[in-house]
Amino acid sequence: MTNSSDARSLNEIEALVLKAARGAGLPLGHAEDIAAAAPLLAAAAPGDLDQLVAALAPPHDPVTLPEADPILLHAPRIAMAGPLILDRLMAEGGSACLRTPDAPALMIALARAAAPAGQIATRTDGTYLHLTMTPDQPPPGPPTLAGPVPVPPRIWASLESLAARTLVPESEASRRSGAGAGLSDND
Amino acid sequence: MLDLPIPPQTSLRPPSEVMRLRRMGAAFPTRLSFLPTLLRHMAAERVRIDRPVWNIDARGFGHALYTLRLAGHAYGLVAVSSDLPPEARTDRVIATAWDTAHVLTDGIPDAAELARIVAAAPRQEAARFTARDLILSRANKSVRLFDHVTARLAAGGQPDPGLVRATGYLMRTTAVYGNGKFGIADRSRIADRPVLSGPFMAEMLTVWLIRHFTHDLAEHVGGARLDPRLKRHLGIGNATGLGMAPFLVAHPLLLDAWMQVRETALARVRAVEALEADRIDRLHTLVARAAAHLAEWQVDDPTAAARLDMLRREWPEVAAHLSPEALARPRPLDRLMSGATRWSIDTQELLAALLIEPFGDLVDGLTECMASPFAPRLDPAMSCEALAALIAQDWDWALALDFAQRRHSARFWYVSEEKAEPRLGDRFTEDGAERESPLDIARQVQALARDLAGQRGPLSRFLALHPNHRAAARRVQTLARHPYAEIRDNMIGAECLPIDMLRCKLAFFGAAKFDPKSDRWTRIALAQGAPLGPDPDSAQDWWLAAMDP
Repeated sequence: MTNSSDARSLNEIEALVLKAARGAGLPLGHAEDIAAAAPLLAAAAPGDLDQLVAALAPPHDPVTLPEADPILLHAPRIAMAGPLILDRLMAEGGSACLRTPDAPALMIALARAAAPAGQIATRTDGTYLHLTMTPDQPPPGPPTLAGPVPVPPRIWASLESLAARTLVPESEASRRSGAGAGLSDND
Repeated sequence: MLDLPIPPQTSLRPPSEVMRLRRMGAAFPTRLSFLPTLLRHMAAERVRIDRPVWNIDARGFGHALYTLRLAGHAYGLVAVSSDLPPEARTDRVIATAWDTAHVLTDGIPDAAELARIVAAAPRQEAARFTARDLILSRANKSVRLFDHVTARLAAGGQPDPGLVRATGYLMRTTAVYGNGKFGIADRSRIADRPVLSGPFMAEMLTVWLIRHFTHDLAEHVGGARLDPRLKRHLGIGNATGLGMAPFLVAHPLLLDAWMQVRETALARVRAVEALEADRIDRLHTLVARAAAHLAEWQVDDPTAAARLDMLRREWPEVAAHLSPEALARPRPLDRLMSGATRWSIDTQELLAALLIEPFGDLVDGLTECMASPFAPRLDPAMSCEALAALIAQDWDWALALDFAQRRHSARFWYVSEEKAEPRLGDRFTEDGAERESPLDIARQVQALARDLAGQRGPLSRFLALHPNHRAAARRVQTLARHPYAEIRDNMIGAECLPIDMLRCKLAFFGAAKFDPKSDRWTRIALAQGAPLGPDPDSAQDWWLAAMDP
């Protein structure tokens, strides 16, 4: 097997996306959902990781979902809206129609991660993304994910840049005492 | 389908008792721990370890390859030994060089693969690996003991048994990476394989093979064979810091599985109505062995030393309670465990581990339940009232904390820019708390409870208005189905000892001889006293093994 520097394991992707989403200022729970969906997205279509990076770009404003069923949203930002839409469908049934969401592939991956038995059907024509709660559908088999996945360096760098916002800058005091161990182990 | 009767069991010890850090931090290894479980599997197959490559110079530097077949799959361990200057030797994450570097491979590497790994392994996190690399690890010498052992062998003698006993290992690993880190294989690659599907089995196989390497290396450098009695008492050490602690928080379902298995095993043992003579003999043997272990175990940390002193004082009382009269009564082990509250938490946990040991036929099958393929899920259809009720039921310990008091929010967990090393800071004297890692679970749930008060309707509606509570809501729901999923202590409080979290996880690995260097760093010994070869009998009986006199 060749050693491609672009190849990333699915766990690496999930772990970095979690940090990047937190670094982007998303609430922890949303960051966790996006991180759980990231391997699904990456394994299905690594090129769609571009959408994920764009979806993580701050700021992330609160989202108000309309009361009506179907939920109709124009240009929703999936990082905040996606988990809430799925919550509504899973709790109350119904459907959602999203016109030009910023990250449709992420939305689909979130739906698969939230409902692995396939209860949320998704359909897109490139402009509209439809999600429908279908609890009575026969569930598909669980997705078989296999890494590694090629991730373009620029995407990885963008994720690392966001993740770096969760790191605390180095200081001598931190280095000396933060880990609870000394700097030499020659005993 | 073959229906097997489920053994009777008493009630499990409740999470309110078991999931407190003080008790988790008193954990001992059991036969259900991962390394003993691995060794039983290897012994059952009489796994043979070969060493097709030994390219080590007279000073002990170079590389080697170990190979074996386990449950139908071939594996290799590449070991690379480098000349490390003393000023570069640190067990911290921030290290950039190590005495040895290791990769566990899926299959046997050919010459080209071996060359790739030999070049990459010493660079560790700075290199990239492939999906045929299952585990990445490194180890540093216990310099004093390694030098002593090789010098004695070179002089025609054997090492001092006292030094061997006290340290317990020639090298200690400082990281054992799995599951996709730095490009190595995702866990899914091995998740369906016999044996390696168990939690941390690949990691345990790696450290087991590293142990073999350390023996071979010392004998090579010393130019002579170690006395098998001493060699058996050289396990593999590990130096662990804060990085292991967030794992327990990030994997609540795994933690729940491990704890439920251990507590179920104890509950089955406690339900045994009467003991056969051989079990009684075994218990007496183990009590004596535990006493020898306690006598061997040395620590410098004052808190750990005080606990160990208490254990040593109380252990003879435990032995006295294993009288023929006591063990002849109905459910003798349940009585013993119920009465153990008279002793310290440390003694109670040592006793709990000991009682499980003679009952492999009753409990070993439970190890199949220690892996969890699941992830916590949010149920957005749950009502706010139901969620509030769960918080009231399971989180009283969190609700009682007053985070306005500095001592309850004194610490913050964080990851340093310097090589992403996990650290712990003082919130009121150090910078960085605005970037703290989310280990403040009690505070998160308390905040959720506050905003949830009086709310009605489905959780989905509440979380749409309060997206900041999503993670906490999921944890509350998870705990309701997995009662041992949460550490029931405040991890940002001044009294929190991260070392308690480390010890709990390490005990599940099979570690003993915990040797804390601070409240957040410890060394341990794995496999000290473990068999040297695939002997099925000795693979069953090395719990807290002391050196033969």
